[in-house]
Amino acid sequence: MSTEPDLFKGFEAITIDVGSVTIFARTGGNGPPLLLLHGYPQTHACWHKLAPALARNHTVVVPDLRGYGRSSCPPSDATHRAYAKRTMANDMLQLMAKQGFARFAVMGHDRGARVAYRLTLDYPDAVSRLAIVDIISTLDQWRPEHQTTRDRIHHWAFMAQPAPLPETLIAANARDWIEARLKRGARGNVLTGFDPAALDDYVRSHADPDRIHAACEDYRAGATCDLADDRKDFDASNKIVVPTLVAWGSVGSLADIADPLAVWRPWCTNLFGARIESGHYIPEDNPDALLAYAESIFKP
Amino acid sequence: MPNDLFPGFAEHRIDTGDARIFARVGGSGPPLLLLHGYPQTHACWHKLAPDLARHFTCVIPDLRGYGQSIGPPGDTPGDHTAYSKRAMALDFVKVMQALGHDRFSVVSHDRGGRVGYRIALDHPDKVDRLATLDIVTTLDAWTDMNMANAVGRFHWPFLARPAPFPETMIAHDPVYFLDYLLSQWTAAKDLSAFDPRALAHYRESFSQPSVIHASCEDYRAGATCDPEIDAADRKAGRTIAAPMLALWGAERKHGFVNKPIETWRPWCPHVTGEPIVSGHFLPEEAPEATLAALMPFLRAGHERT
Repeated sequence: MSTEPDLFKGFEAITIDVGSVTIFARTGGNGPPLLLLHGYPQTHACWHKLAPALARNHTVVVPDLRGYGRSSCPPSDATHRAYAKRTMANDMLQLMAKQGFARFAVMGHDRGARVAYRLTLDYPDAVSRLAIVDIISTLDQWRPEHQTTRDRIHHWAFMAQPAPLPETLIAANARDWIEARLKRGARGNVLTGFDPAALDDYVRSHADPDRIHAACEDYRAGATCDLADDRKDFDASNKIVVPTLVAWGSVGSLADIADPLAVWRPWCTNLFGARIESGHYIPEDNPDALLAYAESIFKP
Repeated sequence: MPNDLFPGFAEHRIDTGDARIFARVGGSGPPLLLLHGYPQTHACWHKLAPDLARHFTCVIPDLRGYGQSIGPPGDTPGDHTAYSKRAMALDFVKVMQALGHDRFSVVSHDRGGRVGYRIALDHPDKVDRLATLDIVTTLDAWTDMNMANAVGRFHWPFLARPAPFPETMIAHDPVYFLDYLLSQWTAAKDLSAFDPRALAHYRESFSQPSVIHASCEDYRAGATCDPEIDAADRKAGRTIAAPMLALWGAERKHGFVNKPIETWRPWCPHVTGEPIVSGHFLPEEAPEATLAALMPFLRAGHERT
């Protein structure tokens, strides 16, 4: 906890009961509400370079997803629904409602981006603007044409193995695993782009057996119910109509996809794209470029 | 070491250049090479060996780096040719040559199956008959990788990550990882199909850091040079000339292509085959059915009527 004031100076720390889980979040700033969602293997701390700047014009809410960081870890079951993006999206809807926000902008990175687009599809009235950072949809992720880079699917398939295989291997090597994941996506495959205090928060979170299991359940959901939920929306031609920014890193997860916007076009009717000089972890690798695009899409 | 699993068999250690191959040799008749897969050793053939040895001179080696075979270091980042199936294929041409067999049949499972079809493609004059157990080519397996089966085949991309990442993840508790894979790939989803002596041998073998590393290199080759070599063969229109039998486990729940014969046909127009009521480990889960399918195929080449 001692590292937090350094990462989110002037932000409040809140813990909100949203029903089946408690969600931890940092909040700060003034203006229209903006929700920032982190990915794997990270926590809310990944937004520490952007949150203060965004707080100048927004009320920024920066939570840990269920199962991550300081949010609680509800029990899982064979359906993996406890860690579905639909369930996480509902957490976020309730978190914002309890802060007095019925409609808000949302930006998500990695797993958090999956929650963000799911939130927009499931609760179109709640989301005013959307920013998706360095992903394609879960449905598209598994299409054969997007699996040309085998490395990219390895941790998806690994973490979706039946419990407790990935849990056991990760728990025995937690720091190695987390650092390998972070290096894999980082520009130059080095950890120097991460603030040591943020890195500590990631390792602390993902070395905890309950959170290791929760993250695996997040990926098991990604291989089952999340995929089914996406397919249903895709087949029904349900669209995201609010202004949507898709930002990707020049050497990030979408670097091998010739035209990431083309992948998102069937999902979004009001789409903007931004290729940013960065690895996968854009909020920490190139926060200034992401900030500029985010401010333009979120401008009231 | 499970000597009692192969009673009457001799032990050989044969230098092939950059590897030293351990093999058990026994029986009499035309030569037959039996190649094991991951994460096993030659011991996987122990239930079939006595019957096969009545009709064939059986040569049952460990792949380079596996079991008691010593492989090259395989420590050149980005270059995994030391564990390519082409290099392993050459090992066994040399091993068979050293044992006095210029031409031989091959029965091969899993990773050994990839070596088996590679011998048939690279050394067509050496192979009398080829049987593969529960595989399609490496190229086809990657092409077919999708949502439905990537979870069942997670170990392909996982083991192919650069060293020492998968090695480190596995080394903390190699027996746990081994037992998980063995049970996951059987029809019963447990270890009941494995003879306790064979299982003890797999565990002992797979607990060696050198075996963990070599097997990861096997999969790194499987993600790089092996499919490139396969693709070059397809492009050149090279096919398997030897009579070929493809068997597969009918009870595999996931992780295998749906139409093995159709998938093999471009590689071997005359391929035949059938499903065996088994999970992935045909020689241990369904030895009698596997033998019943293999024996007529192998003996057909040697009927003197």
